Amino acid sequence: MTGYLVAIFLGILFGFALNKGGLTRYKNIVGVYRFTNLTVIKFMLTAICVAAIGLYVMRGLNVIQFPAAPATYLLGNLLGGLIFGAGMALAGYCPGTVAAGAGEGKLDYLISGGLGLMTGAVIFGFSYREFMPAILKVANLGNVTLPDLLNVNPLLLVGVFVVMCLILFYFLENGLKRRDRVE
Amino acid sequence: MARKIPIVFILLGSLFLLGASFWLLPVKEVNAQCKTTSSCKTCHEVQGQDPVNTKGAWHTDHAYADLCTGCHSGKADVADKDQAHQGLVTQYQEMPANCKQCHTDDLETKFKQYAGQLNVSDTTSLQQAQKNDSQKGLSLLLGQAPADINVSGEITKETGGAAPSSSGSSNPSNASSNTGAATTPPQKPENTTGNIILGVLLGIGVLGGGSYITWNERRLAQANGVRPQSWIIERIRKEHWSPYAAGILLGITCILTVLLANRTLGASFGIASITSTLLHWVAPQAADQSMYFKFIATPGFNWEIALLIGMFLGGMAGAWTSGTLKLRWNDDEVWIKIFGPQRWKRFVLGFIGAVIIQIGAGIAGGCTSGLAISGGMFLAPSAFLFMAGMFASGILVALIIYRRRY
Repeated sequence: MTGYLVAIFLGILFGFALNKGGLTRYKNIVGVYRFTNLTVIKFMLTAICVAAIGLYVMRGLNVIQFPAAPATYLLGNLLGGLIFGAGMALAGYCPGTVAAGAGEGKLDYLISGGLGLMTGAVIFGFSYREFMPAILKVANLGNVTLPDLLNVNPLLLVGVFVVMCLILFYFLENGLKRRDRVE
Repeated sequence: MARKIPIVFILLGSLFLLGASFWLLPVKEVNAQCKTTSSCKTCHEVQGQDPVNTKGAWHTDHAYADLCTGCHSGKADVADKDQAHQGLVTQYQEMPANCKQCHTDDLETKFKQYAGQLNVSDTTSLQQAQKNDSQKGLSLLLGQAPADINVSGEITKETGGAAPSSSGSSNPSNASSNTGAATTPPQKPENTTGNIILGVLLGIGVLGGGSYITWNERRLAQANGVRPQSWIIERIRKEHWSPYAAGILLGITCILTVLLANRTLGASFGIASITSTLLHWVAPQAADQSMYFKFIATPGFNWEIALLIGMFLGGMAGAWTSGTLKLRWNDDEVWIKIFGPQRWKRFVLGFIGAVIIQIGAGIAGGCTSGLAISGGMFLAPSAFLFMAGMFASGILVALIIYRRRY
């Protein structure tokens, strides 16, 4: 029971961040694919940087231990990403923002988004056996992380990643955005 | 001067992180606690306490998903080894009934294939098994079954196909699996002085950074002639946050998720769980036909669904605090400019998009939150592959939709 309460609490923070960050708007999602509005990149990379620093430092200090990282199977991750991106650019939401956007009272998120996602789940679920085991067998590295794979000190890699993100943010704020096109 | 501030921040940040990484160099990697969605996989495979994925074709063939409990029972959601191994089945008087649930048409082929690898030459056991099939399931792999659990990796087949003496082979295999798993007890935390100093430095850094931002915002607000009354409430009421600020909030949420629940955030699996629950409710038999809805997205209320409810409430809270909470149809100005104001277009295209999204998320193993962000924070290669794919095809689709207006 406590577990569910924790889940709801974390979900509220997550939904709140999505709402305030403007991720529950079509224009912000599609803007990233047109390079006119890079909210999504800024939001996602900031979250990843903060979480990566926090998690790896806390693990270094023995405060936490990691749950299994999302599994890496090269073909499936890439193929899934390609399919996912097409849908995201078309509809302007993703599963998380459908939940948060529905909470805001957006009926297109609640009805078309909710029904569409469930239909997608049904299609995927019933065709799972036909193709997924085959895809999962291609280059399946399991629940690995880059520091494990490259065998380097994780904090060094986190540092490099964060510095790369900061440099990217600097350029994003200073002219990488296309200014010839207004939304 | 103002333009130089980001550069200074970048330099300071990189120096700090480099320093931090050297402080932590001698720190040992700690084993992850055996508590995730599947503690079997975490201990056996991820930590390598007793890897079985490559032992026997039956394991390799089923290694792509969390199917351990389907054959071996036990509890996949308990961290403690003894509790997780309660009711563990490591050898079979008959073929696990679960085989039949997926392999309805190719059960015989599969049996022959596995029996061949076990060097079971006579097929009498199979023929016998088929006779007993209706009641008992296939009574086969008798005596041979323990071989796939045997940690030593040798296939210790007993002679005589059908009549097993379970006592003979059970003890050694059980004993060896126990010793294999018990060799690596969880590490006790080691608090070195370096770590304490680093912790204090981090605390000072976070506090200092926070108070600098607060002070700077107040200064700017005063310079603009706005009275900074109850700064926090003012921020919360604001409709558009800087994406960096919202990103930091999400990053902290991700850390809290690991800290409080030892899980990661994700939305698409919750959707699959809801679908599975509804499907089992509407058409239980059809739902059980699907391997996905039977074994992977199992029906019933779970943590991910609770998280989705929270996200719904969070979106509501966000809109409420900024005064935009109301039931409405699509009102996005960019959408209206491109597609026109017709509601049905938004619903049809939104529906098609959502179908594609969920299929893509299923194949990739997560969505933007469950894979890109939750994987990215561990620096998992899957997350970066997913993001690369997501942007490549997204740009293409945007090009097609917008054409000359791109």
